[in-house]
Amino acid sequence: MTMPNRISLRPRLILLPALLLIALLLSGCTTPPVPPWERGALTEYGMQPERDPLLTAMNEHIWFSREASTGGRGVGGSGCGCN
Amino acid sequence: MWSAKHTAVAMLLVVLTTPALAAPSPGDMFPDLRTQELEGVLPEIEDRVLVVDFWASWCAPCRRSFPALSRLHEEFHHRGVTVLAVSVDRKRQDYEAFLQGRAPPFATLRDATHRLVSQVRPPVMPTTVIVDATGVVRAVFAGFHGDETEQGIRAALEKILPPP
Repeated sequence: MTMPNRISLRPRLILLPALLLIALLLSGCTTPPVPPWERGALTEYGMQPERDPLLTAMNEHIWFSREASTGGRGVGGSGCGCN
Repeated sequence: MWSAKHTAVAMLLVVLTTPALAAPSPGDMFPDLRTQELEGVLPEIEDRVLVVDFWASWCAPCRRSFPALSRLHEEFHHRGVTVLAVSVDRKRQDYEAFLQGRAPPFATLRDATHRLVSQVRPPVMPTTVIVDATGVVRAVFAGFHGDETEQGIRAALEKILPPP
């Protein structure tokens, strides 16, 4: 007669830790946005995706050859997200 | 049995494990500026209404906000208002280069360690926070939108200050 009670307790004992684990894992997957006061780092030279002129020219050439289009690669502004 | 109590505990756990990104809002206490290790000379702030502007040299709207802050300083300084422009620039040379030639009439400080800005958590650059003489945030202006922001700050100050 005691067996069913023991079995019914297990889901309760497992569920809460499992939920806690899932919550922790899910929060680990979040990527908080770069805070506004840290966005100066995005304007630095090392953060520019096209800081190598030769590589950029090669990519432009490949793009033009394949897609018959050119330009439109750059983005104006500092990316600070102001306003 | 799964109860409402368990649900509440689970929701609390989710909330606690989610990064908090709360911006300042009216009614919050503003951190004490005297304990923030700000670079620069902090003027007398005791019993004064503060207009604290968070800015950065890399932020284009911040450049436009400086003339407006200068006008507000000239207009309200004698009525007990102190304008403080707090830079979040990591590099001192960026901060100094920005100020060179501008010579603002109000105090400029640098939060080099980001200690203050991490507590205040302004939502955008620039953000202007109006703090009353008791240290309570009375208004927050996110971004600089020209006359709209300037008039908003002026109106917020007029609400706090006694009539001239």
